Amino acid sequence: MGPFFFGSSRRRLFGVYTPAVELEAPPGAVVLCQPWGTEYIHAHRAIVRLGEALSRTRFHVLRFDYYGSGDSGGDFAEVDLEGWRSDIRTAADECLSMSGASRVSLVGLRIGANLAADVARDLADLDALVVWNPIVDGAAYASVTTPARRRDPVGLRPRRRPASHGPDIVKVLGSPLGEELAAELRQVGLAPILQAGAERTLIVGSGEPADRAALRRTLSDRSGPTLDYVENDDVPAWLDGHPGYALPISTIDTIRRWL
Amino acid sequence: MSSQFIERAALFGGTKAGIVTVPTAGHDETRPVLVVLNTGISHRVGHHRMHVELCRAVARQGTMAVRFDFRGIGDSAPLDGADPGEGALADIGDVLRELGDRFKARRFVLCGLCSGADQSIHFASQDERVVGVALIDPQIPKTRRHRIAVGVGRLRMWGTWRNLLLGRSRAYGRLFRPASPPRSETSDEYLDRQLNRPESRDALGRSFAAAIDRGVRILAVFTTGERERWSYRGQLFDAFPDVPLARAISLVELHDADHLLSRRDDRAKLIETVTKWI
Repeated sequence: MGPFFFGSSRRRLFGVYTPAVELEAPPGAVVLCQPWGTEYIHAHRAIVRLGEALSRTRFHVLRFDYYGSGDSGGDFAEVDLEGWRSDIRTAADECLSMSGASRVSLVGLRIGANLAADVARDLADLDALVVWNPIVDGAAYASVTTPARRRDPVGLRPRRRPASHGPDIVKVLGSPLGEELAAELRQVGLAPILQAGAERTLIVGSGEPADRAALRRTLSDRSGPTLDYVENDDVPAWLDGHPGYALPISTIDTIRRWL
Repeated sequence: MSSQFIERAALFGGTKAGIVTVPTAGHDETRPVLVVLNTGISHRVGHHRMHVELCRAVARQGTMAVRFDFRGIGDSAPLDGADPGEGALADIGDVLRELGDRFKARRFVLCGLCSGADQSIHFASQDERVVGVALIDPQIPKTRRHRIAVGVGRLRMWGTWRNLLLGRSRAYGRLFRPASPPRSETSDEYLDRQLNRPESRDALGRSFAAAIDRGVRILAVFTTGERERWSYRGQLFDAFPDVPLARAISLVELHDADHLLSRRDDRAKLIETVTKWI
C-alpha cells in the first residue's frame, strides 16, 4: 500500500494504491470513488476496508480524493462536478498504468457513485461499474445541511444565529460551496446510472430502509439495459453516528464477490 | 497559493500514512514543526478538512506541518492488537524520530482536537522534543461548579420541563419506573465515565504538571458548543488546583462554535489562533 500524489501540477490528486495479492489470476484494476463532505469523512473507513478486500483478490486498487477535497490539492471554492469527473478519468488512467491491467472498474459510493456512472458512459477501458447508494434525489442531497450539533449548549447562554457565509455560499453537508456547485448537485440523479453503458453494472442499496425503498422505487420504474441490484440491511457507513461505527461488511463482501 | 508550500505523501516507518507540508523555502530549523493528530477514529484530513487547512495555513507562514494517521486509523496499517492509547503515543514518537532524520527537525508542536488534544498533552509530558501543544477541546474533569452550571442550564431549557411533563425524562424514569430495564450506556456516557475516573483525572493532571515543568507552551481552545464538557473559563484551573496552569496556558474561547467546527468562520478563527500562537 502506498500513498502518493498524481495528476498534474495544477491539479494534484492524492491517492492510495493497493496492489493485488493474487498475482496468478489475470489482473483487474479498480478505482474507488469517494463520497464528499462529511459523508467522505464518515465513509473513509469503509472505503479503506473495501479497497483492502478487493486487493486481497486479483484487483489492484486505487482510491483517491477529488480535487479540493481530502488530501488533494485545491480548496472547496475551486470544485465543480465536471472537474471531479475528470479526476475520476485521471485516476482510471493512473490505475491502469500502475497495474498493467487492460480494463478498469469503477466503484463509487454516494455522490462518487453518480460521478462514476457519468464517467462510465465514455470510458473506453471500462470493465464494470458498481454504484453503492447513489444520490437518488439531488435536490434533497443539496439541501441537507449540518449546522452545529443540536445537543450542544445546555441552556447557559442563548445560541446566536449561525454566522453567514455570504450570499453566494450555502452549506451542504458541512462544507461551504458556491451556488454554482450547489445548483449542479441539485441536478444529480439516477438517470445517468441507468444509461451508464457498462457491460456489467451492480447497484447496491444499503443503509436506512427509506433510502433503500427510494432507490428500489426508482429502479423499478426504469427500462433499459439489465442491471444487477442487491439490497443489504447494512449500516449507512457515510452517516455520523451510524450504529456502533460498524463497518458495512455485507456490502463490502457483496461487491467483492460480484466483481 | 500552492507555490507557498509543497505537500508530500509519506509512510512513516512503513506503517503510518501522512502528509508533510513543507514551505517552499524549505524547513526552517529555527521553527518547531507542527504535528496534527487524529480526532477519534477520523482520518488525518480532519472534520470539514480542518487539518488540511491548518497545515497549509501554517506552512504559508513558513512552518512545516505534518498530519498523519495512527496505526489502525485512516490509511495507516492495522494496530495488530496493541492498546490504542499506547499505540498512538508510540506512533507519535516514531513520526517525530523520522522527521528528525529526514528534515533535521528537533522541536515540535503537537495539535489535536478532543482525543487528539489528550494524546498531545500526554506525549508532551514525557518527550523533550515537544515544545508546545495546541489543545482543541481537550478533556477536562467535571468540577462542582461545572455540574451546577450544567444542571441549572438544563432547568432553564424548555425541553427539560416538556420531557418531565410528558414522562420522558430520565429522572422521571428513575423515580417512577424503577423496575424498567436498565438503559444501555451511550458511547458518550461511557467515555465521560472513563475520563472522569479518579485515575484518569490524576493522569491528566500529572501530564499537565510535567509538561509545564518542562516549559511546554500550551494553547487551549474551547468551543462553547461543548458545554456538557466545559462550561466556564476557569474550569481547567479549578479541576487541577495544584497544577500551575495559569502561568503556562493561553486560553481561547471560540464562542458558539460547535465541537467539530462545522462552520467555516469558526475554522478560520481556530486556524488564525493556532497560526498566530505557533
